[in-house]
Amino acid sequence: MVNSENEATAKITEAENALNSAYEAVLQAEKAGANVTDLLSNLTEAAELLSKAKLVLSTNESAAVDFAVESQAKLNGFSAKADALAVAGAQQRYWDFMVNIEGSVAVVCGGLIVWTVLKKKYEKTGSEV
Amino acid sequence: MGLQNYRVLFMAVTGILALLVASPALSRLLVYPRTEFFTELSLLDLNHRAENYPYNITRGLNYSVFLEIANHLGYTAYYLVEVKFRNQTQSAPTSFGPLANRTPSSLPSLYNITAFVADEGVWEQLLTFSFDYAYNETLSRVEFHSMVLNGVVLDLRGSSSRWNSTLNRFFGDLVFELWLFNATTSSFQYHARFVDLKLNMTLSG
Repeated sequence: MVNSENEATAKITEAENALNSAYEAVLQAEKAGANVTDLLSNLTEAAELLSKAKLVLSTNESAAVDFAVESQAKLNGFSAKADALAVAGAQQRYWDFMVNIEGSVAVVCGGLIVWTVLKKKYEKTGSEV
Repeated sequence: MGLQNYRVLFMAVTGILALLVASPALSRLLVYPRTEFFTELSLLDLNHRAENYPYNITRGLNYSVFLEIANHLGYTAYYLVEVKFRNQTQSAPTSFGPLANRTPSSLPSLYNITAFVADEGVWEQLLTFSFDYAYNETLSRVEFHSMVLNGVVLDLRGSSSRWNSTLNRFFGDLVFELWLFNATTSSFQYHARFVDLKLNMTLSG
């Protein structure tokens, strides 16, 4: 079945918008501290298919539609995956930060407690440590 | 020696320990800020060196180079490489002077190569190309029919190159322009750089 050029153009625009949205989701995930490297191969595959769709648009509308649809299919569930990575990345970053800061506070508090105990013991016995 | 004499030593040891525990978090806060954000675009030969580029082209023969993009922009970038082919009289892109003054070639793109590159990552693709063209004796020029790039046939009909008597060649210029996706405007903008292969379209073959 031969698709009209308008339909092919519309499909390409849809695929293009999906790709742009997916890229924006990657940027958000990256800002949240997620490692986005694994997501990039999907984006690249979708982009390659989109390039092919644009290339054949003027000569073979049917193939252009197929490439555009395939490109969009590559991005199914992509935003959810990127969002999940963003949440996980943000949580990981928060906990890493808190463990480090709370750990150092615990070291200072521990030092103070040890010092106080030693001081009391020294005063009580009146002997040198 | 009294306990008070150890006070400074005790505080110093505690302080150093606290700093050691906090160092991963501090490294994020105290990291020296990056000041230069840029992209490297290069063409390399099959040994990944900037030499032995294809120059004398024979009709129908395959030639290969690596196209490489190194991202130092501070974020994952979405690049588009526009492949263009021009003769010596057609519009060429510019990559010198202030960024705002650099312009792409006005020729239409024959093919778009897209690349998503993580920050500080390097993307590379092997490009294999060949040309189909014929010499028109009446008009003393090479007339191009098509170019095959990584198996994709690109239409070059209507494009030709006259003999350049100064350089003794039929000039062909295979241009790779770099464009960068701007998420704010949702569009690609010329990233002010390109690489190209200046070719001599020989009549052998």
